[in-house]
Amino acid sequence: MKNTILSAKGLCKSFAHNGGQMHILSHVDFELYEGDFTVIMGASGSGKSTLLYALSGMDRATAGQVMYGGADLVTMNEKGLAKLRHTDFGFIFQQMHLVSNLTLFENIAVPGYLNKEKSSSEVKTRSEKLMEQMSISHIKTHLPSQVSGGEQQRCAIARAVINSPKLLFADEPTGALNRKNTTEVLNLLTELNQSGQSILMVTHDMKAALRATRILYLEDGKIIGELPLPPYNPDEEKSRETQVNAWLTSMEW
Amino acid sequence: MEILTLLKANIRRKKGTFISIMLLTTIIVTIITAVFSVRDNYDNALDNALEYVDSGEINAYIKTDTLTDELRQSVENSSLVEKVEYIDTIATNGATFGENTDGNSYFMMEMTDRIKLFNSSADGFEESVPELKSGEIYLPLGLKSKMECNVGDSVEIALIGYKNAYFKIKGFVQEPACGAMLMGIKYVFISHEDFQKYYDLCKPLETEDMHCDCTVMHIHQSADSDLSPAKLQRQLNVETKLVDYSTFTLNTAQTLNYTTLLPDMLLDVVLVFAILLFVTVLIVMSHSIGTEIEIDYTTLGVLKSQGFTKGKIRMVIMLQYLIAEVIGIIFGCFAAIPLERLISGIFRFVTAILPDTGISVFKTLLFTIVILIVSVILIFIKTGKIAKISPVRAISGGREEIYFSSRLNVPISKKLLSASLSLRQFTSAKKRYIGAVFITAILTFCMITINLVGNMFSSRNALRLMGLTIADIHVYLDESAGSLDEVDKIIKSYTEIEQENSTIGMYISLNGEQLFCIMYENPENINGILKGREPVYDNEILITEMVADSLDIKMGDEVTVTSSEKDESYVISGIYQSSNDAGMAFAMGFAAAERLGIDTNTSYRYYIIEDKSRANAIADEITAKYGDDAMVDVYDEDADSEMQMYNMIISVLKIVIYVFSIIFAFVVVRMVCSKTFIQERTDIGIYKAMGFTSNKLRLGFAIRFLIIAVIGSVFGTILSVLLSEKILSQLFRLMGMSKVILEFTAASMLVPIGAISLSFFVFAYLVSRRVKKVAVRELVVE
Repeated sequence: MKNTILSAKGLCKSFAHNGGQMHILSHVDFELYEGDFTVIMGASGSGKSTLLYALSGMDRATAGQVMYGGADLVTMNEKGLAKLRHTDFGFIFQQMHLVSNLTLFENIAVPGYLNKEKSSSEVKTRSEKLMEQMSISHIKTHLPSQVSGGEQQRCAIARAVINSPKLLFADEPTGALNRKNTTEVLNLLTELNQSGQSILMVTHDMKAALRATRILYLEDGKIIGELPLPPYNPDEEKSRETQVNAWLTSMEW
Repeated sequence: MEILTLLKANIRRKKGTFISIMLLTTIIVTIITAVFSVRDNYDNALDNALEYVDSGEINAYIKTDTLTDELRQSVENSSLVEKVEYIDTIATNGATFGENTDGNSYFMMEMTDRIKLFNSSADGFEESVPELKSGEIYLPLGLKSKMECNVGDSVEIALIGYKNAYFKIKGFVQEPACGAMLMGIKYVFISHEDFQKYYDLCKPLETEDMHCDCTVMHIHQSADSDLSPAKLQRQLNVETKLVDYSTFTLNTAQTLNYTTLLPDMLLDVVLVFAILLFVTVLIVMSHSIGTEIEIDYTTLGVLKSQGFTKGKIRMVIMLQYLIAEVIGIIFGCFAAIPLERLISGIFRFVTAILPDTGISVFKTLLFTIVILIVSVILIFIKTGKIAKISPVRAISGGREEIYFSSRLNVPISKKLLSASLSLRQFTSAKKRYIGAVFITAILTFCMITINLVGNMFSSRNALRLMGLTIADIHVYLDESAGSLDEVDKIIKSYTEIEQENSTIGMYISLNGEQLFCIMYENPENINGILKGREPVYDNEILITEMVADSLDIKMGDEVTVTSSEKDESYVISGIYQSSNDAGMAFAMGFAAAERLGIDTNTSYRYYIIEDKSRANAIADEITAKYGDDAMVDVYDEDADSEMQMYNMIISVLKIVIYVFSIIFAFVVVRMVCSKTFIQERTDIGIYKAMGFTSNKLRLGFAIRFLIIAVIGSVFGTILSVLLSEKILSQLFRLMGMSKVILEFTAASMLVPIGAISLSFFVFAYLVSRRVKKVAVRELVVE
């Protein structure tokens, strides 16, 4: 029996559009389990990123609940959400979004400095360690503009996990990368998951989805399908791809 | 049409910038228009007032005995002269108003029909001027504030021979020749009956040294002569020796100069401030255009791809700023009306003239044209980089990085996270903030400088170093009652005498130019020597820089001094500064004066004492000992109405400069902050995603602007240390202070630095409230 780490109930998100309302998410019920590598897939405009941001508290849902640790993120104040972001949650964006005037090392360390429970030296040590793990130690003093997209994204992953978050959100983390960098980033995420990190990732890349232990399919703002998978094993990638492909076809992807 | 459409869209989208430029222009035009208008209104009013009293181009004050028929004939027959009027006056030794004594020369004359009577609030004239009855007096308005007197108060005028005349103030009149507060001579008007009474009383008391019977000659220039008043005076002296015979002469140019001396000097300070503000507007515009091109790089590329030429885009940007300026100019002209009235009102009691009202249209127009031309040139230069925008590069997002690696970078620290991140934002985008640093420097410089002016007027030490004598005790003692050396003994029984001196002042001729000469018993105690040394020998004199420039003489030169037709040669031993006659003065020792046949026996001496608190006790003892034979005046800083008036005016100017500086700071912070906000919107989102709260980010913004303000303030302070003295010396030269001595106190520097830094911090925090509206959702690429 897996522990639920985050759950959503009746989650709705609408935007004003041309004088009317456009419903992006419609009464989504959802549970995220501890240790899972959950991937949300769906066609363009299906509401994947909207769901991710509503679940992570980055964006407020129009209606419904997002429960985390006994608190509802929909009604949580800004201060509470800000605290969650530097204690329990980590984020990886498609466009990396590193702060361009901070070095890679500083980009990783700054959210660590926000965490009052960790000393400055602890943050520095962990940042160094993560940089080594992400193979970017040699460029620690570089600015984001001076390194490749893959290196930027590895830095973004290190930044996302600097505070050892309970939950890591990733929004198309390989969307802006070439094939080689995509594989490197996916390997890192898989490693993290296999070491116990819960991950919720949005992607439309099937290669990325293969790393999941659970795939959800979103259509017109509703979850219409779910595919549980065993932990990722590179040796079984071919058969896994066939299975996922078949499932996605059944979802009319 | 396409330009108009684009222009409307730009103004709508960038209304913050539009309003800011408009507001800044309004402030500058308001100040400059008000300054021009106040000056013109006073000049015009003074011209009209002089025309109304019709006292001619030269007023010569001469002892009636000296005014021989021969002299009358020679002046009246001069081809330079149209006509001469002779006004009988009674010369006096000053006046006492309650507890305030004024040792300047008062000339009592019969009331004429050429004076205008101020109404009770002194902002207009009464329709008629009631005839004076015996015991009543009309005073020039300049005395109202200077001596803190009002209608109905009593005034005691010191006649010769230690006799006094008592009057009740009937009203204040506009007397343009020498009614201004700064002028040391005053005409006061009394009834025909009183004039005869006091003339009859004083005339028999006249001695070799004490005269009361004086005539004022109103000399009207011939219509055929086109000489300036100063040249007319000089030429007339060559022809008739009138100036040499006169106690002193005053031409209309001197009247104009002395009457508006203080307003001119202080308005010059404001004018310099306004010009510096204009420089800050240019910096703001330059920064704004540069940032706008950076932010709108893609849009400008798209416009180019749609066929907009560089010229058209440039035209849109130029019109956008010029329209804002034109609106600011219009608002400024209207806003100048109340400011002009406020400033005019402050100076009314100094000039003793009722100023005209209205705006100087021509000068304002000329200035606004200058503003617009300079702006056009600046915008043209700044928009030059539009030519370099390539549509393809712009559309593909190829704009330059906004941050740069900097050697000034300091590590990000956990303890000072907001401060170190703010510092990083500053060091990595220095160019963006250089304008703001300059602006802060200019504002701080202005604020420190006005503080230094305030310090200067309130520091006895600084004023002494600048040649002013601010003594603690002044004693006038009737020779028959005793010697001043006995007074010295009384004072020494209370405290040490730091300095004592007796002085005599009179107009005598230096190389043919009639100038005010101050003669000192102890010339080694003369203050304000800039070059050379005191005139300790009997063939030496000191001159001011103004005299040196005016007569083209220098230290070491030999000059001729003439008094009562006796010529003597003197060597200029040094250059000093003196505020007497706005710097047109020279000094010598008693020994040097005696060579000219001047009687240096004086009944006056001033004292600077060590223990100031004993001054009143000393005065009491001298008065107790000598009674009415002695007049003792103790300097009381709090009761020095003239100094209080200066301080009040400087306080008003200080408020004007502080208020406008802070408004400027707000507008500048708002503009820079808004542009920075647009440029850093993504970063704000990222920081929020990391877990920074809006409050922490706003604090970061505020700290960044605090850093800018502190750096700018430091530059402003350095600028002030280097330049304030030089600039103020130039401005105060009008008053005779060719080298001002400034006292840089901690408060004079820290208050402006604190005010500017706090303003930047608070304004940046307020303006950055838009941080709240940035959602992390904006980072999502759908």
